[in-house]
Amino acid sequence: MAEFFTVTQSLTNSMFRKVFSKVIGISRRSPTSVIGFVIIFIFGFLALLAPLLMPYDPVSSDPNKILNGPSLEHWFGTDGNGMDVFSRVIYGSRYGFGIAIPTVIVSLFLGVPLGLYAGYKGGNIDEAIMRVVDAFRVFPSIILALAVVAATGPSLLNVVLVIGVLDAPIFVRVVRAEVLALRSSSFIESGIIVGNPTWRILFVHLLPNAIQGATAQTAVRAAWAVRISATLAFLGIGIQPPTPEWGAMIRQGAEFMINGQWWVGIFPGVALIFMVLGFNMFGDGLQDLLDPKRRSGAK
Amino acid sequence: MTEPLLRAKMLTKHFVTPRTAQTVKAVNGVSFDMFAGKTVGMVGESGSGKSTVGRMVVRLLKPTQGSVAFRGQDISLLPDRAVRRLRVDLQMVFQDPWSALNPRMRVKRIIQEPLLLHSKLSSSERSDRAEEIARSVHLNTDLLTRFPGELSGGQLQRVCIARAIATNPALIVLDEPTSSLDLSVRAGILDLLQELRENTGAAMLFISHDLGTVRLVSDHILVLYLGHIIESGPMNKVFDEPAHPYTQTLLSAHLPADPHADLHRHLLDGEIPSPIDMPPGCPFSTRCPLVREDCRTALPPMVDIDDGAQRAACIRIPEGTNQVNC
Repeated sequence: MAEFFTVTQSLTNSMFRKVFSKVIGISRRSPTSVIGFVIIFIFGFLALLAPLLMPYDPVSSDPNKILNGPSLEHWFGTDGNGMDVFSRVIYGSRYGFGIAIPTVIVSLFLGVPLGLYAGYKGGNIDEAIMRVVDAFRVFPSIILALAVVAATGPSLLNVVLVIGVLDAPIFVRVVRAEVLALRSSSFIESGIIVGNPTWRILFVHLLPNAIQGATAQTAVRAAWAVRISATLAFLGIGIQPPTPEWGAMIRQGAEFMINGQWWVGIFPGVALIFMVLGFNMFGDGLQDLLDPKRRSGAK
Repeated sequence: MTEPLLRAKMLTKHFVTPRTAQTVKAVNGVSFDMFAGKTVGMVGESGSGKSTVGRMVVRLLKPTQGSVAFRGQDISLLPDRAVRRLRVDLQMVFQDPWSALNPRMRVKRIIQEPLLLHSKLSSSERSDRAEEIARSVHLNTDLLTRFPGELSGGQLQRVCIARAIATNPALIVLDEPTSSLDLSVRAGILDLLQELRENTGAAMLFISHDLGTVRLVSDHILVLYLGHIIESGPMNKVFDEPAHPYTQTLLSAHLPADPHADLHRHLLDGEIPSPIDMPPGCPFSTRCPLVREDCRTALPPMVDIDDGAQRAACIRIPEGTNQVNC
């Protein structure tokens, strides 16, 4: 029994050491990604434990406490409806993740198969897919998003779908580029010779070898999704107040800013900046780590 | 005479270069037969169209003209879906084992894949069969749980061969299976191919530029030059009495095992001409030591030598003046 313990102990010890040394290695190679990860981790913590951390209900208004400045009772003050800004900022992190994660998933589900197919088939099919992708990219995405969300209605689902579709072209391009590099290697020919149908060539043989670039992009695209969804809300087209979404809160706050009631808009603004920054920094590190084309500089 | 397993008839493949839109005449009217249990060795310099012929035989490429009849059925016109079912019987081993295996798949899954696609075996039966196949190619079964990146070149090529024979195919194309391997490893793979040839009864098309290895494994030889078969015949006859001047010079360039042997070498000048800019008449006329005026006018037909088992395309053969003086 004692022997068993020492064996498992040394096993877990060596595993811990391995993981630990890897973490150290990553943080030494790109300290920004660690900072980014910590920021995202903190926001994730806030979002998960929001009900425990919020001192007040984020959408219940108190008519006696409209536009009170920051105090011990209300750390970030109260807004024009008498709602607690601190609680609303914390709850807003749920919307940040709730938009960023599903949006990136929508983009991946659309972009990755298209990129695989375009790169593998080549020729006219590739041309057709890539021209559509280019057409999406030449449009300023914020204008397109505004138009589509305005036409389909400002629900959370619509915002996620629209941003997800608009961002899919990035993944199409990244995946297609990797497939083009792989297409000439003979393991794809081997896949055909063995008798794989096209879907298996794409998803069993190409996908695991062509996904790194797309994975590396996910965090950066999440940052973009958070930013553009907040922009839509700020312009009054996305998620509507009094939903505690940061973009919508900033819009509300903008009205009071000129009267000197800065706290309504500044606190959600700072939260938004930190989340976008966190995703971006984390994404940068992820790219350094996963994207072989960027790996050359860092050893 | 028995029916051939596969009959290639006037196979032709022309590629068009993407930017300059020139036509590359890779293969020009190649015909040959393959029989069960027999190995055909196809030799030629790089650029002679060997690999293109191999790829057309297993329908990785569609021929521009001509046909490939497998068991009497023309597979060159079949849709991809129908060809996929024929993969049970048509397999290929590639030149470079380092890139021929999916780097993200474990060896066992690689060997099992053809069984997964073509048989109704359960996963445990497939697993047993994979081990059995691994043993038959002398691959240590401990390696089955590894990824291709962890194996050596010789081991990787054994995995490729294991995958190719997993479904007991009737025909295997081996595209230079040994030329990227070290000499010591090469011998082991050649031994294995010999063994398979005796045990499986599959027809094999062995493509190589190395005469020594072709000689070891082949029953029948095809000599390719600029996409034309210029000589074909039983292995011994072609090696002992090569008829075409090109075959003669090719054989004289091959080093014998004995370093003290008298070398009667006749080295060719220049390179194989570009398949974009084919010489008129005999394709070999630009380098042939016996060239004369009428070689450059028309493509020489294949003529029978002796009983017709051996054939070559040279206009000097009927006159008996086809021997290059070494």
